[in-house]
Amino acid sequence: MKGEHLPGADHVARLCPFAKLNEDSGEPGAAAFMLRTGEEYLSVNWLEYLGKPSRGEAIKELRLLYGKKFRVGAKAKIAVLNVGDFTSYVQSEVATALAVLHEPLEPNGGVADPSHSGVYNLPAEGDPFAIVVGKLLATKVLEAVSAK
Amino acid sequence: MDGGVSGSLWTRQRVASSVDRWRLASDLEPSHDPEFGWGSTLTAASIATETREKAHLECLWLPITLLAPMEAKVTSAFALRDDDPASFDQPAALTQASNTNTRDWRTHFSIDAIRRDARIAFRERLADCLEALQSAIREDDPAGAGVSPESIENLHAFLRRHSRLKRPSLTVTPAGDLLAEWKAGPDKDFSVHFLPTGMARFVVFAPDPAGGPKPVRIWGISSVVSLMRTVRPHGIHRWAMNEG
Repeated sequence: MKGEHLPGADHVARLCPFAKLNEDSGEPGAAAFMLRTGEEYLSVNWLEYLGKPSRGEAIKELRLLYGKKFRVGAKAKIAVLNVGDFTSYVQSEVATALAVLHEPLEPNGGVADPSHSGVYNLPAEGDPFAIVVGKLLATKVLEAVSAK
Repeated sequence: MDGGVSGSLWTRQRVASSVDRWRLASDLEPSHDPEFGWGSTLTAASIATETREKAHLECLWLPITLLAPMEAKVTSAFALRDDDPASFDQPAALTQASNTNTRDWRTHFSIDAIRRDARIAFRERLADCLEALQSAIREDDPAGAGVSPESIENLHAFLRRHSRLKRPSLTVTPAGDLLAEWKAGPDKDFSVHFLPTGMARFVVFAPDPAGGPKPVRIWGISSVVSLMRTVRPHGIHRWAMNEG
């Protein structure tokens, strides 16, 4: 349901282009979790909503979806985070209450994205604090797998 | 005449704004600068002032290694006659292509300037990284803005000023600017977002001076020139710089 808070036990995935991956580790860096100018929330996908038997199956479905929606680079990755883990961590470290809400996207002439969700209350693009929160989120990535 | 580019690199190179015409790469002769060697300048400044409407383009110092690919770009995007004023009435698509290519050229020149800068010990690896980032962004979004050349020039100016700094890890922000990171642990983390304006947003994670378990986190904005002085009290120089 649109606007529903995702349960803390559930997981979200974020598409991270190569240019937002740490050069040495290959893991997503702070830039992967920063908003674009004018963006209200950070786009993610709710893995459990996809109803697959395993996380691997859910990620397979996301690869197909991203392939339809975006030009996915050969080195891009999908980062997986636990909702309760990263929201409580950011709250405890920098007293910022992030909210993760279901934001399903209708096809509107394109591709439907029913598991689409948003991370709200991130600092705006021009705020140096956005780098701090991005760094904290990057440390909470459970796994980062190929997006292709 | 520096078109908003900070630092001395671009302004010290020759710009002939009076040359009010298009030039094809094949028309140009490489030149040599005593400090920078064989080089090139594609000046954003040359798309300024009275020639802005004409998307005036000057290529004065083409590196030999870049001549071939650039010539191909010039031919496709700027196949206009030097002396034909009507040729400046470009279709919108061509204008957009011109802008993208102009920016890409400047990005390549900015990276090339780093690659040739003997003051930066890790110049080759840094330039390779920047090329890889630009290439990846182009793969994801061929019509997008790519890595900001002004941001690269700011990073370059910063590294020239602080040549003992270790090589940073680079990523690109959603706006196309560079985010450089020096990290030696959870409480030894220095990140700089190099803006196109000569300013930088910075973040420092440092050990708590009172010995607390959590790092102190500081963030702010500073000119690139004042940045290291601004963060020095937090001990960045002790772990982000090489001995010497």
